[in-house]
Amino acid sequence: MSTTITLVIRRQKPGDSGSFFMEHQVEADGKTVLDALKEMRDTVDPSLAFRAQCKSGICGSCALRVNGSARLACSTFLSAVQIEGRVVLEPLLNFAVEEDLVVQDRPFWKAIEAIKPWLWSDKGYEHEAVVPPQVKNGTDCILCAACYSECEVQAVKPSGYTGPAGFVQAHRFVADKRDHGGKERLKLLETEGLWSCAHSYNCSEVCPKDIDIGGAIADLRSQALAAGLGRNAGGRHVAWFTRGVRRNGKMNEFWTLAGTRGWRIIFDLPTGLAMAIRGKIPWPWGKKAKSSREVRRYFRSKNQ
Amino acid sequence: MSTIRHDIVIIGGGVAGLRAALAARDAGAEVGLLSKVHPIRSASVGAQGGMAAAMNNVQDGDEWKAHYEDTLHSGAGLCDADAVEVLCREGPDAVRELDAAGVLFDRFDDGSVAQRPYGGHSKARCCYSGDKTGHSIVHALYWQCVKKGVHIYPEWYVWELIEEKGTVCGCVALEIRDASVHLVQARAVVLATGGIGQLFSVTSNPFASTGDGIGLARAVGARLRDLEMVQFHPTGLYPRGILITEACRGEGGYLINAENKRFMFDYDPRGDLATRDIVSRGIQTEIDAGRGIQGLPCVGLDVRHLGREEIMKKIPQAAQIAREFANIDLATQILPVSPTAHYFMGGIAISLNGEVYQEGSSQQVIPGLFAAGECSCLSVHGANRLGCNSLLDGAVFGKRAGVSAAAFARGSDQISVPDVRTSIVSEEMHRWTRGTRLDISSGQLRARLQQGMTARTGVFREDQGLRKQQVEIQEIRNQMNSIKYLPRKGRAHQAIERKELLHSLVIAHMMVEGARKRTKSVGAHWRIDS
Ligand SMILES: Cc1cc2nc3c(=O)[nH]c(=O)nc-3n(C[C@H](O)[C@H](O)[C@H](O)COP(=O)(O)OP(=O)(O)OC[C@H]3O[C@@H](n4cnc5c(N)ncnc54)[C@H](O)[C@@H]3O)c2cc1C
Ligand code: SF4
Ligand code: FES
Repeated sequence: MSTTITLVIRRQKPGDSGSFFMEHQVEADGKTVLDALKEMRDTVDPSLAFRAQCKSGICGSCALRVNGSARLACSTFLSAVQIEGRVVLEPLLNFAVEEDLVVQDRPFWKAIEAIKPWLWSDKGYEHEAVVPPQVKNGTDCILCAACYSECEVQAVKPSGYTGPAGFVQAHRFVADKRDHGGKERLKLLETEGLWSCAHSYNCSEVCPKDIDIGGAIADLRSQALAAGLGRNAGGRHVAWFTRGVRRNGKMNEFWTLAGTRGWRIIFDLPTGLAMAIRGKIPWPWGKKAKSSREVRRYFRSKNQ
Repeated sequence: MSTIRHDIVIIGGGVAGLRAALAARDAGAEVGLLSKVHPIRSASVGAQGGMAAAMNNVQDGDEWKAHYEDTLHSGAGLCDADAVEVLCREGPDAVRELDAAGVLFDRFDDGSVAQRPYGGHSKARCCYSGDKTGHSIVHALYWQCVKKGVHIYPEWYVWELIEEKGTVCGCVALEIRDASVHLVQARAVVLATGGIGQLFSVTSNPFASTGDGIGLARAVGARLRDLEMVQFHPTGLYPRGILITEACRGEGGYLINAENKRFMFDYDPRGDLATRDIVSRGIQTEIDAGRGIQGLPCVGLDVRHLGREEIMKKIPQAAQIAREFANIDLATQILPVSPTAHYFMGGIAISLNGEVYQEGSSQQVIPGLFAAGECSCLSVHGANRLGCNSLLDGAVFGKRAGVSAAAFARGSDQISVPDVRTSIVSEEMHRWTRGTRLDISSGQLRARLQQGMTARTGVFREDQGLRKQQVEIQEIRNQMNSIKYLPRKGRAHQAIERKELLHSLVIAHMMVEGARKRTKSVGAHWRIDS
């Protein structure tokens, strides 16, 4: 038995700002999204642009949006994601599109680089070193940028925000006993948006490597607090955040931000307004949570 | 179009290229690294099992000499003993350097780098990061390069090397993003372009493993060697060829056929831990005899007895691949596997310092050109590479190539090159977009090449099939003129796929020729008519 599905690909010519959709029927059985894209390029349109390399979910090249959510093309089977016989493929969000499904990834690499994701140590090789298990969480990251695409803070393009993958990398080094970064690393993270994360947990949900990104951010925050950082912003943020959740069953980023920043919130207005307009954070006088989804997401982060 | 200058230009961002870049940088050179995929997407990132080095951390009496003997034994008489000695002696330091660069090797309870047994190694000397060793190494080396100021050009495709008065002094490269052509000048060039798995239809290698560097080197008169020596890894996930790490067997897993029999002991006393060539032939023989599981051309890999906890701890990535790509739970089900084209033992002939030899010579080198990693051949792997020896090869000889390229660059003047090549290359690309019949694509021609290579130049070879493949390669080459090509401004992938196919065809041609000439079976090269 064979199943035919309609592949709908969002295409964009380089330099154009508009995009168009291309539709094509493919046999879906046993095929991944990448198989289908490759088949399209080889037999229908050789100009179709997408990235892929390892075809085994380890190199991180092939992330794109499949029916709206970020996934790896190579490990996503058409039959598993089709909705009424359709699979819509689009480039990642929060990036400028370079061509078709290829995004301009330079800002992503720059954002990761900003947290200096290398070992801070001048000791050289140490014969005895213990690797704490939580480091492994971060070393699983393949830098595919799926999380970056779904990040609600990233959506408003703030400057000085490393993004979910950056925090995951940072977490790995903070936990690495060989690393001497300590408080300096955490301070650097403060300038890279440690307190800006809006707790949507979208990142953790899409991560193809099942990395507990939210947990990593929460852990970094509590380490920063323990190191005496975040006095001005962070501590109050966490306090206001918790209060908001308890009262409304829902966090309200506005009051969290207001309580955290005090009168300085004036500086945050452009970002906040942009987020509110895009529906990323509630208006200050928002209703109580319709569902307890946010609350569940919040408590999923075991460390907070 | 622009002109770029660096002391050293490294082509390739896998373990060998990154290690070479760091070494050259540490030696004070100013380094540019060009890679057709972002370095973090290189084949090296997929290396799972680990990296061998006689550190003797399990205190089983391991020393470089034992590693040396195992390597020579596996290489079946084709290894260069001096090169193997360097590889094995410098192994432990290579691990320490990587660790200091940030690589997170697993550690024993006493804090020392953990080591485990691996196929063909007489001692437990495989250092690893779970089953993501390559990932850990590539990420650490890449960020070290960034930190130390190596200029990285991600998604730049090297089109050709430039030679002036017999010296290599740069290359012409395409920026893939917009297909712009650039002249890159250097005092020394290091090739680290990886393997050739994409010559075969079933392979563990990524799309980029098309053998470009080998083609580039040949075009400037480099000597190539051992081109018939391709390693087929026994356990590729059927039918995709995705690598299932040997660690599955290292940790106690075994292979079974349709009769539920552990067949490997019929072929070798070491059973499932025999060298890769032997296990691949064992599997292929079972398949050819109709004893594949479920009537398919594959056998079963069984790790169920390890239990879920051990599986998740020791081989988590294999478990994830099985789940994602075959919908199989390793703790309760058997995994279908078959041999997959995995590693190229042959390549560009080099010296211990990474210098590239001239065609027909084992003394004269091409000034200014160096090579390291899978695209090169010393040979440390002979007719059959030992598992875990190739990351080591990349680390040890990548470093050596970087050091000697830096030394060469210090002693030489920058040869300035007239910028004629860039317009010739642009012209060549442009010509490809014109006057072509829209009836076949590079991808389709590559698929045809791959099917023929896997069928006739695979685990078993015979003269008749090889002859047929020679004809096939010629036919494919003739068809290249009708490749479908849709002119569109933007990314250069259409031109690149075509150029890659050209390189692959050149190598395939020589591989088949080499396989025909070598009438005796040795290591991974097996003639059923010998
Ligand atoms: C799935 C898998 C698992 C493996 N497991 C192990 C293991 O456990 N242990 C072990 O020792 N070995 C293992 N190997 C083998 C080992 O990983 C490789 O041999 C080794 O990593 C090759 O490294 P390299 O630096 O030579 O090349 P690669 O990592 O292949 O890098 C090649 C680089 O060259 C660049 N390049 C190529 N052509 C061009 C061009 N024309 N212009 C610009 N750039 C170009 C590419 O972009 C890439 O960056 C494994 C291999 C695979 C595929
Ligand atoms: S954290 Fe997950 S989603 Fe984000 S880049 Fe890493 S692997 Fe991809
Ligand atoms: S192609 Fe490497 S992760 Fe998909």
